[in-house]
Amino acid sequence: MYKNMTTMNLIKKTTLSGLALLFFIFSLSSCKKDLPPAPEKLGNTTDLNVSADFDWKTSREITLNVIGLKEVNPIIANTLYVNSSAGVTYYKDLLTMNKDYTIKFAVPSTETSLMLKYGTKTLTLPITSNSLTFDYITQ
Amino acid sequence: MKKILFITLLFLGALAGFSQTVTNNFKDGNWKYYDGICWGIGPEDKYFGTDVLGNGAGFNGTDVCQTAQLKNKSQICRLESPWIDMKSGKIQFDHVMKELSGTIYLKVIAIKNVTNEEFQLASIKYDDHTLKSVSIDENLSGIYKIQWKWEVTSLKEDMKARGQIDNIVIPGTNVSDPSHNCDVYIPCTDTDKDGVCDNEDQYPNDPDRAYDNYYPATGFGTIAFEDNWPAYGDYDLNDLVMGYKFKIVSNAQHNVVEIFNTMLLRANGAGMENGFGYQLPNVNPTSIRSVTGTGDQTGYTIGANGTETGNPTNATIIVFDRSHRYMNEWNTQLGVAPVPAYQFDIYLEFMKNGVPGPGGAISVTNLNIAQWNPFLVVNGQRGREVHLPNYLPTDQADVTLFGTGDDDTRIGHYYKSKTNLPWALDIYGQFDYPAEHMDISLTYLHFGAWVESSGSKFLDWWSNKGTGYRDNAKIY
Repeated sequence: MYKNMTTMNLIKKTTLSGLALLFFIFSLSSCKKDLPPAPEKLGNTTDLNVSADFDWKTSREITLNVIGLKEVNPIIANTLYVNSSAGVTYYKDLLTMNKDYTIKFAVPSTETSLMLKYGTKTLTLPITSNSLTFDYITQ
Repeated sequence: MKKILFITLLFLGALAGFSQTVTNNFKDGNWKYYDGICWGIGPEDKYFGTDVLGNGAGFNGTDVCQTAQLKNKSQICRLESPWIDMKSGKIQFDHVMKELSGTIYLKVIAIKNVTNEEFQLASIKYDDHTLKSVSIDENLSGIYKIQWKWEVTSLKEDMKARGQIDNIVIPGTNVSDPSHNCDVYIPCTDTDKDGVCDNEDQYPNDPDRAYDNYYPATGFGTIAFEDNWPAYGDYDLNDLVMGYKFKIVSNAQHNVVEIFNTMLLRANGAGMENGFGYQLPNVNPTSIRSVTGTGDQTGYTIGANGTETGNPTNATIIVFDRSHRYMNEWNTQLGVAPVPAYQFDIYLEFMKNGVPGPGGAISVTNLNIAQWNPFLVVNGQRGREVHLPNYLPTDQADVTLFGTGDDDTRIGHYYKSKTNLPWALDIYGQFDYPAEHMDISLTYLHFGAWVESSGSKFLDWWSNKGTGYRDNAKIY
């Protein structure tokens, strides 16, 4: 009987301790949301884990494929301006409107879109990949 | 007066180059294409109400122009040609009305440029569903649009009529300019006659030059080196710090005429006598006529055109042989006053009076200046080159050094260590480099996150945009 009582007490104590521990863990995880993010762990460069295919670039090369309008009179030629959203020109060149072109230039990796201007046509082109297309029709 | 005569002649000359008929068989299958080349068409447009019926679904088994469903008397659908400098002759087209169930007319109208006066050339009443080929004599002179207008005058219940038209031929020349709101083409002033309008030509009086393109687009970029290759250094990335800017001058044929390259020797945080140069990977050295403005090149073999010999496929420019010739201070040590950067104004001539070097002209796209390949030469040992990660060595590199020390250079894995670390970085902008012995990871506080995320986080780690980006006490 005594043994049974002791066992019961032990079970009770264990259960209470378990609940308290769970509550403590829950409290910690709940509080975590309200805390500012932990500072990044800083170490030396030689301690970094680097993917073998990381290119280490702070810029990205863009290939812009310009699709000409084949039935346009060949005399129509203007300067294509490829600008940043802030108006900085990354590239400009003379393009005849009935021809296809492949243009290559680089932009900072932080750039998210390009502003294209050709005559009175303007287009905002999101940088969704390193290969973009401009066809004069979408504007 | 002379100017007016010249512009008139130029305009007439331009027109002479145009086709003598304007045609449309809608074979592109997409109304947006025809809208793009100045036809008045658009299914959602309340004014036009016409579309291209693609996939060969037209009356003749090909793509045609089709009206919206003609449902009520107030509905009018239109198709318009571009502006045409008309010649007398016959306007021809094929057309049909599908599911005719009322009285519908197709009117053909000429709209005069400037005044927008309308002249009806024909009014055709649909009698049945059969295909009709139409030929309309006209004697117009001047610039007009031709408009086809479908008008309902009476209709029966549940009318589902649609007009279709194809194989349009109009005598005259297309003078619409799709690049300028489809207005009538007006030749611009082009003083040097290179094909680039004066208002867009940065050299309006020079037929051999048209544009300046810059890399980086503004200011200077930065190359920062560690010079202890093939062993690791302290990763302060200041053993040699070079600012760079390229101004690429090109002509109207897209070819590089000349490059003005400004190089700034900014820091020299090394006891070694390091040299610096770069390759233009897509440029045969014989395409360059001359190179001037470089520093001392003792110990290098330089050809008559100023490029380094022994690199037969990729032009190699040696900027200087020993950095300490140009900067006595390291410019990296905290507590020591900085000295100004040393500037090299390097000039690369690709074309002279429109004539390229023997290797031929290089287009701006083939030059692709973003692929320039800068390298440090360690302590006067020509073969001991340090390049940006993933960049190829020159033909002068000592390949026996590859794979020694911490280096793990092999095919497809150039100038990276066994743990994929580089010995140089290229930053698209002004980079405030770390002071002596200050590891870049401890100086730029998001550098590690940028690296370990493979560049997907903190793309602007090198900027100083916000608090917590860098430890200013560790920057020189």
